[in-house]
Amino acid sequence: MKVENPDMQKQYRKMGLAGAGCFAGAVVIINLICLLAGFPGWIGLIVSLVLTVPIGYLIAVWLLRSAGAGRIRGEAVNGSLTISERHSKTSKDHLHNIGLQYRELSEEVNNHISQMAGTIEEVKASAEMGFYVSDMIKEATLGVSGDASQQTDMIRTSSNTVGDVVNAIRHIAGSADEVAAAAGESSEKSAEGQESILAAIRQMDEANTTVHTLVEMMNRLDESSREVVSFVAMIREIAEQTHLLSLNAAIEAARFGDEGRGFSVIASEIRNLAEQSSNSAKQVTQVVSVILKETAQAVASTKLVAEQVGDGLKVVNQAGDSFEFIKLSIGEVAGQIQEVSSAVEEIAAGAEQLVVAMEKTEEISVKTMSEMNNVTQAVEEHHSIMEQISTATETLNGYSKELDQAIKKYRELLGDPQTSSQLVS
Amino acid sequence: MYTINYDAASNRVTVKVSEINKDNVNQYIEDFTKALEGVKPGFTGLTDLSEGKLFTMDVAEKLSPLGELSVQKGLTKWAYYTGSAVSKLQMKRMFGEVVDSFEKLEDAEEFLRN
Repeated sequence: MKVENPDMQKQYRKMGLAGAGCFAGAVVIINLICLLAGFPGWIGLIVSLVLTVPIGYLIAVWLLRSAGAGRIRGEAVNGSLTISERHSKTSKDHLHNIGLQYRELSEEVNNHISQMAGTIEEVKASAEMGFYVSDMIKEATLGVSGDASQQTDMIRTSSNTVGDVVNAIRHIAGSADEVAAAAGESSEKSAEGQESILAAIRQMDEANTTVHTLVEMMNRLDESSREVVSFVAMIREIAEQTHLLSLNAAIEAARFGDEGRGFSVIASEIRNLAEQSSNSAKQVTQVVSVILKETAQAVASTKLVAEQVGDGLKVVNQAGDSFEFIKLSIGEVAGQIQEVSSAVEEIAAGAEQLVVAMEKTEEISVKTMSEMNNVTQAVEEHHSIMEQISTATETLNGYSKELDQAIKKYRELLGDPQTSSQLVS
Repeated sequence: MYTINYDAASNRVTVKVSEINKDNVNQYIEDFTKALEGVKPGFTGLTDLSEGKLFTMDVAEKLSPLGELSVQKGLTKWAYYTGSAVSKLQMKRMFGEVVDSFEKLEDAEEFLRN
């Protein structure tokens, strides 16, 4: 629109500058408020755009009104336009219709502005809530991340404990092998010891039998000795009688002198006694030889018993050695078992530690899973908030288009000088 | 918008929230603080947030100190139930470990009983 009047040009320039200043000021203030409130820059931009559009529209309407009135007033003053001339070409009804159109248009614009203001409030609140929820989701995600790190540490600790348990089990396996070897050796030595003891028992039995035989021999020797004693007594008696007879013979020989017939009787008796003595001596010799023989046998048996006892002692000594070895082996086995026991205790402690760690890991896992589910659900809810913002923005866009249409109508109405002047009048 | 009840027999504060906004938050804080004056140490709390709207940031900040205040008054357990995950996140941010969240009233009741 070209304006030739210098005053009008000045007025338009002044109004344009004022409008631009207001727009810039509004943008700066809105962004500053958003910055102070801690909102992201894009929210400030959206809010400033949303707020400044209707304000700019209002300012534009106000400028156009002022300009139209001023132009008409200016033309009227300059004498280039007179109201009576314009009115002469239009009817009263036509003006009335234009006034109604103008009023409807104003009401429509006012409605649009009110709706836009409400929607802008909604967008602002939704944007703030969206930012707030985003922040909470971020915080929850960081918490879940922290839990996951803790879980990793726990799993690492559990892994180390499992390694310790495995080492302890290996140690137990090694000790168990050694124990098995020692036990096998002990078993062999025990069997040897058992055999030695059985041999010793056999030797002792044999010695016992020999001793019994020896006892019997000794008994027989005793009986023979008794017989010898009786024979010796008989010989002693015979010798005494012979001595007595010899004494009688000597007496008789001395009393009868030459008459020595009686001597022949005595001699005969003496001879008989001599024979009896000879026989008894022979019997004694035989008995003594038997005694000697049996004594030799008894000596031999005693030597045999001594040898058997010696063998028995050797066997028993061997058994003693075997049992000494068994004792050492058992001591070694006991030591190994002690080591195994210590390792098992270590494993038990490790296993308990592992159980505690696994329980804690499970607890953290459950918590993490719950948090993750919550965060996922929260993200979905946040998404719905963002959809609300999007819908509200689309609504705003619709209002903006409707306003644009209304502004076009304004322009059409205000662009017609006749209508403008009529409206002013 | 909300109701606050204290049952002396069970020593429990029960709250039902439909909406707490900037207009009624101060009144809520006042009512809640008044309710805490009657509790005995070892009391429990139950909040029904199943139909509650999410608090705005400024409202949530104003409500946060009530958790610590409850602990000072002898709170042992406080359970709330809501289907909203964002609401759970908000409660956790506001009250930390003081409260426990549940999705159903039965679960919350069982937690408070045990």
